[in-house]
Amino acid sequence: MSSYEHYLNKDKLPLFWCRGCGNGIVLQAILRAFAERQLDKKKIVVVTGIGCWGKADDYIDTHTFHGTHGRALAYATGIKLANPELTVVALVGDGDGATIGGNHLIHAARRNVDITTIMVNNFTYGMTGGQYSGTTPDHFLSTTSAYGHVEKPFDVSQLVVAAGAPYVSRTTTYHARQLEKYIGEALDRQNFSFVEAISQCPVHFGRSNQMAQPVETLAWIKENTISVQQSMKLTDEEKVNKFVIGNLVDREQEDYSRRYQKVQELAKRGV
Amino acid sequence: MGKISFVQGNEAIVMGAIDGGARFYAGYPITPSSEIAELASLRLPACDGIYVQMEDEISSMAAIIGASLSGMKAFTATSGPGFSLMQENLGVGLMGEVPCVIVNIQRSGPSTGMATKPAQGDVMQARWGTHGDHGIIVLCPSSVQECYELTIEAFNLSEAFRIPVVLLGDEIIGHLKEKLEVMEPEEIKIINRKQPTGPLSEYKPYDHQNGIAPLANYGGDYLLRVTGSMHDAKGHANNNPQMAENYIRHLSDKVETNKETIVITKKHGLEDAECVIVGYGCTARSALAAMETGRKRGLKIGVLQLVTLWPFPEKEVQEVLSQAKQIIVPELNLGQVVSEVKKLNQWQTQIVAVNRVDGKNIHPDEILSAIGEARHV
Amino acid sequence: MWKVSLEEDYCKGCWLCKWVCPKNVFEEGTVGKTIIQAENQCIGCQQCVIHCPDFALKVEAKE
Repeated sequence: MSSYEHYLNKDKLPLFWCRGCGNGIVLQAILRAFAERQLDKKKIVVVTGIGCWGKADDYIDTHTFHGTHGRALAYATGIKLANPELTVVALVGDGDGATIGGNHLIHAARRNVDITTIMVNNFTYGMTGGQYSGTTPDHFLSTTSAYGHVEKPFDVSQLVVAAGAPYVSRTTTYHARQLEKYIGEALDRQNFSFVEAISQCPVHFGRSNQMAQPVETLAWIKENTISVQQSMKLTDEEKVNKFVIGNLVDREQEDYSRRYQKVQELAKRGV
Repeated sequence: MGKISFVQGNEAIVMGAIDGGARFYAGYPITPSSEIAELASLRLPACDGIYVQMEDEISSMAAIIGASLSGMKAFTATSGPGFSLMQENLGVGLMGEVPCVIVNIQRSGPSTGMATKPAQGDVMQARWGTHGDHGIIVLCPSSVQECYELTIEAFNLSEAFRIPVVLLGDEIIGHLKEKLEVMEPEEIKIINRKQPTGPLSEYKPYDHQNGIAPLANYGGDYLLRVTGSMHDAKGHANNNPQMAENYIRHLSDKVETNKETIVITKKHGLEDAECVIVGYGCTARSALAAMETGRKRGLKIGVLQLVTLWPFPEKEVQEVLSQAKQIIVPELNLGQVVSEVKKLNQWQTQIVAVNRVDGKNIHPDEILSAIGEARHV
Repeated sequence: MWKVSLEEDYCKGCWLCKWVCPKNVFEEGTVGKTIIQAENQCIGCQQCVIHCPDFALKVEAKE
């Protein structure tokens, strides 16, 4: 069956996410990427954390694990290392993955465990009502920064590149075809692969920032998206609050399990 | 009879884990448990096992839960500060009913405290450190041999009851070197979690109507859903009140109703004892030495060694409370087990607490001088 | 020729389909759901399908 519906828990629909939330777009892209590869759902483990995106596991008909806030990659590491045959997909938000989960993100990337990590970055803590996160753009408002946000955000993809991940791509929910393509590439790579999906949260982030309609929030994302090539021609000031999309890194690198196999061989030989 | 070694308690724990079927260790080094990590990193790859050093204790606890669900028996080791960090994810192990073993080699706290000094200050934390109502199993070794045997027992209990089990050691027992007799493989009883059978679509990992439900592995034919949220029998998040009530009670009941199977105590000289010392961990050693010396002086002393700390051995403690004239509870804390003993004292038996929190073990003489004291706690 | 179908129970009326459609196939309905107003103009680009956050749309070739 080549349809994405094979992996969808239809009896849990309609999706509980808000009207216009980008999560459903990313979920569809993931399930399409599974379907295109005819992946065996019994070999897939979807690992999530806490947050709106963290509830995606409710809708996915594979093995699933719904852990604590920020720790999806730690659970995923144990799941994968104990059975390297599994396709382990970690779904994290910007709070879950880059704020409370930041430490686990950089170490999972550094360790290069073969986990496909898909981060939905909507610049807010949606589930708890729209507080700012580690990726909330400069000067934007939130329910805990009514006077303006004084922190600068992470460029999460660059953080993951710097941490050593061999595959990192970023795109947006507007660029849904590219999103599916990057997710597919990430699944295909046998290493820590990271896809950042910039996404709209109209009800919290949008509403706090004069773009409460889904079309308005997504239009804002689209208008501020530039390609990697375009970004190279801009100054740092011109790049503030712009979303640079594209593949940032894609290289061959032996993953943790393959390297650890050699450790096991040495240990068995008594070296 | 198996091979004889002369090893540290910490090393015996690793040997017991591997002989008990463990093949995955994730941890972060911390005094006085780091020897466990070191030996695990050496021995596990040699038997196709995995050692991974996670970035902190939070992720270590998470990783062992993940590995267990993928079918590898998994453990971690730490001390007080790390055990504190592990509490949230330990809760996931409880709510998800995931077998795993957590070793806490206690040191003096609170906080950073005295890293190299023994204490027993985490007894209550082992019971209630993670939030919410839950049952838990906590075992406490008092010798190197027990470090080995109880680690095997810890894995078996975790598999039988689908529950994280804490092996609560202390710096003295962890670093003590003693004779260890390793069991022959055919002598070792191993319990494994039940695997599901029947139609794939009907598998319910949390349907305990016929005893503890089978636990599928990730990657197997039976799709497994695990969550730290309140969930239904299939593992889907669900807030239904009756379902939640039943489930939370189940998490406690599965331990409470199985106390007969779970609780281990060791009884020494209780038949005619007028004074019983209730000891555990390193203080059980002091208790046994005090008993030996006291008996030579004609004192009728017995020792009830608590091997299982939680669920609390109520029946065995009530027996000694009802028969002895005096109970002495030596602890390297300000009185965590003694408060449980007091709760059970329907006989107004005299209970004397002997406490030390200075980073040193209780000397048998301190216990002996407490015998016969009129001091009533 | 393309058949555009809407699963009304899933639709939340976010109008992303209308916004991405190059052919004005959709219009905002009065009950907070999208309306397929011009199925015959559909070119089968699937942009509405992949941008629908709720799995509410299907665009299939008519035999």
